[in-house]
Amino acid sequence: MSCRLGPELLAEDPAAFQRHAGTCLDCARLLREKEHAYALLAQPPPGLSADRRADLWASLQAARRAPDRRPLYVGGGAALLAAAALALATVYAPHPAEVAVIVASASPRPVAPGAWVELRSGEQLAIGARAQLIAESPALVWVDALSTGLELRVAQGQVRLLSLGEDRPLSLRTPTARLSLIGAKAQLTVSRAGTEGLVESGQVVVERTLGGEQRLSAGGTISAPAALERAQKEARSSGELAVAEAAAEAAANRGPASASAAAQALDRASAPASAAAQAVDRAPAAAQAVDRASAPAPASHAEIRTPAPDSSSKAAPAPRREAPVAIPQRATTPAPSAAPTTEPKAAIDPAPDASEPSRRAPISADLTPTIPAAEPRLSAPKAALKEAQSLLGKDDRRAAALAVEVYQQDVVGPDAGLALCIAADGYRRSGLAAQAAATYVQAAQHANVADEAAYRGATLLHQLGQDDQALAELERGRVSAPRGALAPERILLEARIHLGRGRALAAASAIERGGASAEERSVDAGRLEVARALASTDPQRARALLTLIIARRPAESASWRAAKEILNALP
Amino acid sequence: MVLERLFSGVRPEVEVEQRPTLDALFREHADRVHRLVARLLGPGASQADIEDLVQQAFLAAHRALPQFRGESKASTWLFGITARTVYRELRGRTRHRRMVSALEAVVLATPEAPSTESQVQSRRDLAKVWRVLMEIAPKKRVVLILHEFEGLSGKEIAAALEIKEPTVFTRLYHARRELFARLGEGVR
Repeated sequence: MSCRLGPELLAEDPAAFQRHAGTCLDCARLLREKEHAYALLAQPPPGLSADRRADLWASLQAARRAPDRRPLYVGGGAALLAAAALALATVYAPHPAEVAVIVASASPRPVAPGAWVELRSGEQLAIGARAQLIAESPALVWVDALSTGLELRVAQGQVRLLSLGEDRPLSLRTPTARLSLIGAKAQLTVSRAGTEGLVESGQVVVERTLGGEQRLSAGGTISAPAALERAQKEARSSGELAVAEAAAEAAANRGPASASAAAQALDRASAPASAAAQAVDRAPAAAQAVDRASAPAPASHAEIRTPAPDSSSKAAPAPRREAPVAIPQRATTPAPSAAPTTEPKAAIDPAPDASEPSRRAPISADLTPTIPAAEPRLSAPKAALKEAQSLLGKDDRRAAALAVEVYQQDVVGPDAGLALCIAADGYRRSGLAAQAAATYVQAAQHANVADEAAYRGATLLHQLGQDDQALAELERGRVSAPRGALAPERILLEARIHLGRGRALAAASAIERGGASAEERSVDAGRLEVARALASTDPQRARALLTLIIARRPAESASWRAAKEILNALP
Repeated sequence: MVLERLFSGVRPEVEVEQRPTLDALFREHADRVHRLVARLLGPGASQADIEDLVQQAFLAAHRALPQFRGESKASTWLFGITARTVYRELRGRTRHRRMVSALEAVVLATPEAPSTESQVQSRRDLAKVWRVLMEIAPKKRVVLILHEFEGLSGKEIAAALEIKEPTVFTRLYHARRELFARLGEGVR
């Protein structure tokens, strides 16, 4: 059949084929469908306008004249890869691999950027006119010069950074946090175990790898022990983010008000007592962190500044409180088609009732009027799922109904996730955005579809104006599939949601903590938008966001030019 | 005169002075290269994505010009470079998923003018067909698009992609088969 659409038929064959198609209804229908598909695919894409053509030629000329960046980039990439491999080796291997190490000889000594520096205990390293790095134990540090300043990565050991108001921005990275200093006077002790320090003047920004940002001004102290990060991570993975946040907040506010802060954070979580108790059971580290927070703390710790405005929303976001936990339910629950419709709109599953842990909650109560009951009784869930999948694009509502029915049978594991995803796809394609969003939210709890479901759910929630829930879904996607295929889109969406709410700093954080995924070209648009928003308030950060585009994208490409334009306009 | 000979399919021994210049290639083929890139990326691609790749393709051609031996038409040679440039881009699973994800959003985006039911259906069909096409492995998809929609012959595709001609038809066969099978199945 397909050769009919190509030139392979012999001269006499088309006539024979046409005769056959004239009498065979099946072949005629197939032929019509396929010709329709080809006609759609053959539609010409938008052409190149004269203006764009001229721009393209100009940029091509400029790129041709510019020194060839490719070998440099490849070399740079290789060096970065080597550095990353080396960092891993030095961080995790009991004995660092043989590396080209600058052995300390004098103290303090200047440092050449782009090198590993091995420091003996007590040795000092001059990293600027008014900044020194002091090794408190044998340490290995990577020093890199970025266009925006100096970056130090502590791979091994414990170091103390003493900054007396260094003009150049300094950035320190550890596996758990990134600290940025701009003209600050501060003393920070950094190691893999955590970061502690005191800010004398200026400002230090602490961004934890697992999320959360603090801006510390004069008198502020930092205490971000790795244990807390682990507690957060554990709690996040158990799905009880609110408790993790409560623990984090309580720990961060160690001091006289710690107990009440913890209580308030838990209150804000507003989870039912039983759910909170379960959460604490499931996240012992988080509970320990709460316990630790209740202990009396040194007075200096009480001076910790409050988190940045943006991070207040991270402390106890509403959507996390109502993050749905799908409780398995047997087929005794009526199918959506049979359920009465009482709610005017779809609601995300409420928090589960702990007294009935074995029931799977209905996906959405208001699906019934629009979705007809699936006709056949399912015997094999996999076969039914396949059928539901095949119905997508043909009869989306029926596909959704069938998938819901499969889900409400006793399917577990990946099949349950797939069923929810198919149902959500069906709703989405049928224009039932709210139902689709609710179902994606449920599907996102299944690891096999978490990446896609969380992103799609967040997209729909954002379109529905439920940005808090959308951010929670994005966060869930980030935790469950940090390097998922849709991570770049997630980052972009998160940045745009924050921007839409006027939170440029939070938008910048979303990109900055995105790692390699944030370096994808699809995030460029977000980088540009955030940089524009930050241009007047935080030009340094705006510049840092644009650095990647300038360094990685082809010279004179659209994104490169836009980045250049913003950079030129920066103060 | 030189360009005429090169572009008319006459392929003399290419002397240095007979090689097409970047200017000539751009003048003659920018539109087609742009269209090819847009087709290969699908409607989910942004204009910036397309233009970046067009630029990359021309820059790659510029770098490769000294090696151009005139064994194929300059246009075929340029399409080959373009297809390989895009193919490299498409091979990344992340990027591929991104294009697919963006597909429906772009195609089904509400137009400024109100649409009739048939227009809406047509956009849905378009999204569906492209989604199916994007599910086909890039190496087969590239061949399908070059052959079916850009009108290149098997021989030209073989020369462009530096593969054997039978391989072209094998990929074409499988691409069509997958396309129609998936269209029949529906998509997720």
